[in-house]
Amino acid sequence: MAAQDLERLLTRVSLADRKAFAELYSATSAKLFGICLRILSDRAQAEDALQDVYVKIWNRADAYQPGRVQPMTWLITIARNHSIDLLRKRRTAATDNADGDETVIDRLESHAPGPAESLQQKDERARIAACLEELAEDKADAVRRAYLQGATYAELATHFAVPLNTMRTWLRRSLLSLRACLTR
Amino acid sequence: MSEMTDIPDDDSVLAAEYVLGLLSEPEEDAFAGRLFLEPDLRRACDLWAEHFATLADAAEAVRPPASLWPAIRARAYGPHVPFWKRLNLGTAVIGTALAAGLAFAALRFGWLEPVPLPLTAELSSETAGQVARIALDPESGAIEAELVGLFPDAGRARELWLIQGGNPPVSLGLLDAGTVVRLDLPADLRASLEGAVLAISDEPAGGSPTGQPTGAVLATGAVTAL
Repeated sequence: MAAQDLERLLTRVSLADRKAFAELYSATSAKLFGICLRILSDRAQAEDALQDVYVKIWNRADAYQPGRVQPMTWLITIARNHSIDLLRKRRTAATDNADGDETVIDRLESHAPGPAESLQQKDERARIAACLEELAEDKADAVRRAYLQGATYAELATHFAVPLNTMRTWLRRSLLSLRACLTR
Repeated sequence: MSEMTDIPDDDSVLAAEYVLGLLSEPEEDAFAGRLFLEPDLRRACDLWAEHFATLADAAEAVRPPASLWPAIRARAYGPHVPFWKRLNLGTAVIGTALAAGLAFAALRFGWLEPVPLPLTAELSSETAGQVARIALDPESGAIEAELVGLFPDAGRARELWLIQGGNPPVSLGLLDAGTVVRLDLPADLRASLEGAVLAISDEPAGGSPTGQPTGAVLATGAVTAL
């Protein structure tokens, strides 16, 4: 399904069109469920998260602005942010139970990135993945942990065993390098 | 991508930190305040969101269980959501700031393969409201059914029936309070499901001894494609 089709569906969903909502769910639910699963690493929680995500999409489709971000980016962002919210709550609860958050993060160890696609392919989809490859491994890992696991600066500092301020400087530098690479 | 260089380094980094959710609460509030006034900053956030979203897009697609769709429908189409709740803005991307409306280099996402949706039925009673949510896959005959109200007393059971046209009810099996049970729809009943009626009856433990409903019919609902 092309971006324009998704855009049209979202517009109809914003008008409370149930048929469009069913089509949107049919087209995107497997992708968004995969993302919830990837972030939460727990099937039952991912199922609950996906329910919340689509209820949000139904209620907020009128906030989608065509032309601003791609429809799939909008949908993915809702799924990612909601899953990260749940994950952070889970981590807080785990910490309160004296179960160090480090173990939780380690259990959620991110998969290695897929086979790096060559920059020459100029595949926009792989651009950020390729640009992350240009960073030192631990620097790229920190960015992935922030996006895909919702790691905070404090959690990253603990994981990489560096002071908080160092962590922050590190990551901000990585983001600048990423921007330079993405802009090339 | 040229827009990304149009703003100072610090702002671009702040935008990325905002999209990643790395800012502290006061920093985030201050940044969100600026977003309303500075279109370039919004654009920077959108661009970061587009790039980061492709990282998530690398996750493998997984078909969700059929029972999720009727549950989502029930929640989405349920009680009306007050508008002030709908204004609860989460992120810049979801925000209502005016669109910059700039054409964007085509970032392609993975091809989306639509999954067939199950037929659904919501069974309700006049007194108890929603009693059960059912998803049916007409191809495989798989049924996922969840009893959400009118739970049986000890020694009683809830039995699910399919009524197609003028035919007598056919038992599909017993439901379980609060959990999703998986049932099978016999092959000869899979055609013309849309518009058929599902019903739940009160039966002795183990189900109806006669093959037809023996107790009160507690809830009914039509099978629909939407």
